[in-house]
Amino acid sequence: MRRREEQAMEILEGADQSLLDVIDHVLNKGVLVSGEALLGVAGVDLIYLRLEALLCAADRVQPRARKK
Amino acid sequence: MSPPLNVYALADAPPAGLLPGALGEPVRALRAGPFYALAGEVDRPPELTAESLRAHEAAVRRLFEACAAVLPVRFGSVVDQVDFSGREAELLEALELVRGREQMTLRVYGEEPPPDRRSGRAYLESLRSSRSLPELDPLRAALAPLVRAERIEARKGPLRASVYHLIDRGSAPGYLGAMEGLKLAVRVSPSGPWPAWSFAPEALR
Repeated sequence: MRRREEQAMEILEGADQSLLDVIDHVLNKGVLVSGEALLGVAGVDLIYLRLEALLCAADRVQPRARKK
Repeated sequence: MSPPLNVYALADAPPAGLLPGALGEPVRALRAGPFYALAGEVDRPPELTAESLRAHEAAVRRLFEACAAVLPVRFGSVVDQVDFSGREAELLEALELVRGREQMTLRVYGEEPPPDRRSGRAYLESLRSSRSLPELDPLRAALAPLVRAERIEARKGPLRASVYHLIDRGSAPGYLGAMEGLKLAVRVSPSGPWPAWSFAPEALR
């Protein structure tokens, strides 16, 4: 579990706005092929838990940045 | 036994040419009923890293650019076999919707207005009105010639909502240009163009 948390934090702490947009799209959206498929990926829930807060924070830090 | 498949997208025709997946593996078009699952053979599910997330998005984007209609598949969809039986009608309808189109994403910032609590009915109506983001109406009017479909995902906190617009491919510069100089009561931050992530049916089993 420790390793999963570290992975999630590494991604989120270094994330820029374009990566947060990518995370929002590739983890939250799209066809779900099967109910079990995502269980093989460690840390997805943990990442998503903090994504909305970071989308807010990143935009506030860089309010004039034009995203991808 | 076949190796596991990392599925990137669903299409109704194979892409022209062989494209690389997130790990550089060739993406194959596997027939599944009326669809093609665009997938690469992998040893195991991808590691969850910033690089692998970007690589997945890039692989989906390559397929999007090579096909007239693709439905992106969520990151981490590694399966032994692909089966879309029972969902054909919904998926075919979604493919028609996204054909020749791309997505723009708008983040809408600001506090949601307090709901009208004078009655239960007034409360629900004010909530419904607020969730439809009437503050964006001037934007909607400016973008109306370009937008083919809209989806709103309400959020909580300073990020009030994410709004997803489906537009014809190639019209993103016009879309962004139409937003220039607009005065709105909420702050809106655009990104895109993207493959039509938010117009692929969700939670399908």
